[in-house]
Amino acid sequence: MQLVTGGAFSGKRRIVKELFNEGSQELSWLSSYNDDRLDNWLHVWQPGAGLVFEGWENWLLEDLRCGEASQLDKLRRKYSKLLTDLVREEERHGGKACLIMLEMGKGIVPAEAEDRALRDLHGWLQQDAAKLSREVYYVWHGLSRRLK
Amino acid sequence: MIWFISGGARSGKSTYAENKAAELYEEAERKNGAVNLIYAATARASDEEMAERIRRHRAGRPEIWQTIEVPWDLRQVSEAGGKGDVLLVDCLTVWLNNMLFYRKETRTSKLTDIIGGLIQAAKEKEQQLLFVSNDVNEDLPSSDRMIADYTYKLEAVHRFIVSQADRAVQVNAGLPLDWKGEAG
Repeated sequence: MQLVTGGAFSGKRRIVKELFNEGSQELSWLSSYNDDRLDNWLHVWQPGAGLVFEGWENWLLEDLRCGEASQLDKLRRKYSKLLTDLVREEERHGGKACLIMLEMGKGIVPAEAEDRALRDLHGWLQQDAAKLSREVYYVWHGLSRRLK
Repeated sequence: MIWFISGGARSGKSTYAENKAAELYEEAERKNGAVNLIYAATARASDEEMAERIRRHRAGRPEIWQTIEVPWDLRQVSEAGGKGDVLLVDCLTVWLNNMLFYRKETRTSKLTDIIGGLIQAAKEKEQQLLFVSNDVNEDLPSSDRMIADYTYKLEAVHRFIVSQADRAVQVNAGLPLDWKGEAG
């Protein structure tokens, strides 16, 4: 599994395409920006292709709005399990999974409780993803640096 | 040589850029004789408070610096200098603000064209050109459309300059992290 993180509009997608094209691998995309549902990931993953996830903040926000802020730990565990399932499926499937995540933790603490919950949850998810990923890249204004 | 220097608020990016520009200026003087060290300020003295800030900044820079004010047409920065001069543009966030809200120039391609024109002119005159900017895209995404659009355009400008730059440096707590080109 790969994790590509960086700020908004920093060029993460292009870096992902470069990483995969080096291995000339086809890509399946699961994007919350196209209203794709996260639990649909197994269905969109084409045989032999890489699977790219993007827009985690929207999936997290949707889950947060369904539950309560006190359920943060429960949500973290849910996403952590998804990542573990993904790593297991990756071995079986043969194609690589790639998670694009938005760096959103470098501003001041948000005034709204929902924003704070989202920022916390997204930060934890990013840490959990980094632990499970073989490769981690940070993207800055179109350039990338391997962190792991 | 084109430099892009960026970082968070109060990261020390401007101080780093000014020191680097002064260093390049001294090096150029030793090699080529008299050259100029030009500070291109993008901030406008839009009110008395801003005018006072600008006066204070200007007074704080050593006398080797010449200051010009270039709120929108950045191509003037290269025109203000001669062959081999060292030019520092500080900062791009204010310039973009001026372009969007005073000049009403919202086309991303036009914005990168202006920057591209300056880079081209600086290369032709063998000038050292340093851009200073601010990393503002690592915060929670804004639901305000205007802020999201500003961030998008600033990132387009940043990515363009970085693609053209010989050196790209991120400053954290006053320390440079090299992203492109060697440490120098």
